[in-house]
Amino acid sequence: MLNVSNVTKRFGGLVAVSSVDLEVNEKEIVSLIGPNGAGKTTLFAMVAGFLKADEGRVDFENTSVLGMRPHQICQLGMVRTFQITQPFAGLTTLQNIMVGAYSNTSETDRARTKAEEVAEVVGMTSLLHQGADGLTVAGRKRLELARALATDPKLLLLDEVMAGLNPAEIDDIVTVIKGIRDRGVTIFLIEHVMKAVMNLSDRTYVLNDGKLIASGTPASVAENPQVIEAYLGHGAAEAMAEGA
Amino acid sequence: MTNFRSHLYFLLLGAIALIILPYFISSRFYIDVLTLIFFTAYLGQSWNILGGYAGQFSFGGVMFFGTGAYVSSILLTTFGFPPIFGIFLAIMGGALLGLIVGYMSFRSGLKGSYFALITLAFAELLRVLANSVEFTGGGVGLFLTYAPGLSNLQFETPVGFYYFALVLMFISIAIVYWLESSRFGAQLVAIRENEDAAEALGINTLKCKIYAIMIMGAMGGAAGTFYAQKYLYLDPPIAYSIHLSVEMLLVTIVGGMGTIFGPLVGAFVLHTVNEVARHFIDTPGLSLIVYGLILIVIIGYLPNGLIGAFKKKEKKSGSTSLDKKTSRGDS
Amino acid sequence: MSLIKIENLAAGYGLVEVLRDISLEIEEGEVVAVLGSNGVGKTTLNNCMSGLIKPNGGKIFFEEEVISNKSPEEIVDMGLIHVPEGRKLFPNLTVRDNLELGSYRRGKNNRSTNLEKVLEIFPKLSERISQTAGTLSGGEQQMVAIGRGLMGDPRLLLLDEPSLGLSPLLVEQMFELIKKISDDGLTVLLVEQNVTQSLSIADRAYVVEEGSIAISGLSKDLLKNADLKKSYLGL
Repeated sequence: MLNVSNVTKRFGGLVAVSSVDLEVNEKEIVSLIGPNGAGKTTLFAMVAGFLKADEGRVDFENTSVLGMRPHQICQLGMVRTFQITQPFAGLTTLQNIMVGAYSNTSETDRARTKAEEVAEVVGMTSLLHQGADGLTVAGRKRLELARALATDPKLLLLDEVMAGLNPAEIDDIVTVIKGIRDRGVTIFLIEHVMKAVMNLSDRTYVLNDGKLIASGTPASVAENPQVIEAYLGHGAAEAMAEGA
Repeated sequence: MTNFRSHLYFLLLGAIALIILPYFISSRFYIDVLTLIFFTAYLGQSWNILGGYAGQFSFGGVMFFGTGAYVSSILLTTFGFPPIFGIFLAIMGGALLGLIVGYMSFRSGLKGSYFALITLAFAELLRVLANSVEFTGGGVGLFLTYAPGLSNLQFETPVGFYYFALVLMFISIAIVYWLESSRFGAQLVAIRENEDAAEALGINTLKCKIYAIMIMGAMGGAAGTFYAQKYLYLDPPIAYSIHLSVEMLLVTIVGGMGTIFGPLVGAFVLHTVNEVARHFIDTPGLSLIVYGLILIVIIGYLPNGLIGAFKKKEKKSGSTSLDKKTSRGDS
Repeated sequence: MSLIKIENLAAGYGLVEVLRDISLEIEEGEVVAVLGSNGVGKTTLNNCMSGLIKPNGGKIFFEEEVISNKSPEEIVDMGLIHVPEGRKLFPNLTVRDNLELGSYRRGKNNRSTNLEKVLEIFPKLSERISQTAGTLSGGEQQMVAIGRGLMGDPRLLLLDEPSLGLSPLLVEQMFELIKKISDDGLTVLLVEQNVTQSLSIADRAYVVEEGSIAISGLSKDLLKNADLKKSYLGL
């Protein structure tokens, strides 16, 4: 569904992302992980249309999305959420979600019905008439999900959706994400909350210093010495092996 | 939006009151004041669409007014083209100007203060152009002949213009009412609240902003024709100086940005204050000083305008209309 | 008596609770590392200790005195000096000015002596003493930041991610320097993402996970601990 090939991005002399290839297939939950500063956010921004790659291709369902504006990418069926939540603060939850729903219909009633439906999937029905600026962090994260879901995406791009949540909230949102996948939406996410993401993903890609250093199932990636070194430092893999 | 049902009766009553009001007022002066209030409210509403709802603050709103005025007036003086049709060309002229200015500004990604300044610059540019070109009458201006009649959109008594302005104002309210319950309105508000998020959710923010400024332009154009036909004289300062740009944003901010009746409330308040002040102090330019002070007070203490302050008293949690709340929380 | 004792600390920013229940101790002369995956709250912990943010619960003791309610200036006066994440130098001031500002409150009387000592530890800075701090390289800036901290005669130096943004070679040098400083008797709390390097110079370490201390122990034991890997990698 999503094909990223040989994507590179430079900022002046700094190569933030270097020749990265990755793919996401239908109904999968694929994650992108890596230590701080590895280039994940930059890569993500290029896929979502907020940054233009210097080299390489980003294809969604065999259509190149390079250089497309985010709203066009959304119309194609790929939607992103934001790490620092971006609610429409002056509006209610319902109105927020309706904005997403409006991307597929121009009728207010249809948009409202869709928004109410989506709110249920995400567990926000009781909060529908609450002002978005009064929501808790967990609420705002769900709102981000709901808004994106209301656009009926084929591929959902989640940007550190678990950041700022406590363990219980993380469990909740993992359940919601699984539910979204069960409804047929493919998911690609960046995440730092390792325990959650490793248990959630079907496959994962590990980025370090702008380069892809490993990919595969979470279990295999967690045993990969390069990955261990990326996170823990030079020599960690051997030390681990010693202690095992 | 659900408020509307219950308020519909009040609205109808209010509208009827305004319609029959002239029969109870014999003073030309007060009819004129009311006419001016409706006119300002109408222009304020045009600003409201781009500024209050879409969140793009223009400081050059007068340019649509002036351009519309010139379009219908030039057509009248040069070709004898009747203003009753000319007004539609003025509307188109305003919309076209909106398209040009909007495309140039928004395509370059201008926002916030930069956008405000560029609209100011455009208005100034037009003022200078109008001054230097022959067909606008240059600095001398255009004199329109007094010839009352509907095709001329001229009326013998002030009451005629009162109704003309009232019709314009009703239309502007209808436009915003439609906006509040339509997809386009929701998209504008989304852009106002968070443009990146709006874009990410499939809204073509460039297109929407351009449409909004075109509506503002179209509305401004009609206002220009109204003015030209009422005062029968047009020159570059009248057409393009900043006073009207300020007034249209001021009435909306004072009344309440992003609300249906904000501009009307603001226009009433501002004009009343102005008249009262003039009654006591006889200095020219006083109105601008008064306006400045009011703006400072409102923005400082009541950023959501008078309507916003009134709503805050009524409501307890959340809001169901599309007016902007200042959110002090960080995300 | 421990130099630092933290009991059940809870802290966060607004609605977001980052630390839920942190308890740890540091003895005088130790080098203790606080580790944990990205975003887990290490900087928050440092900010609480230096008084930049107020905790939501729990207490911090410095030599048996409660400091969790004190202002940052008071905490500096007591000798707890925080070298912040990202260096936070004054880019338009010279290296000398930056360093001398470190002894603005504490260490005023020993300013010139301390400056000499700092330049001994970081000889490269002598060459750059009159340069504006913003023109220095990343590694040199880090040295200035640590030097600034040392100028205040610290009893406890809090280092927040000193290796951030440095090349691998510089990282090694940085850690060697830190070890040297601590060998002179300075107590150091090192908050870091670079696990192996930190453990190579620290006596003990704590690993923060989900807002509380998940693992603690001697450095040499920790590196072989499979739970450490799990904390960082999730599996």
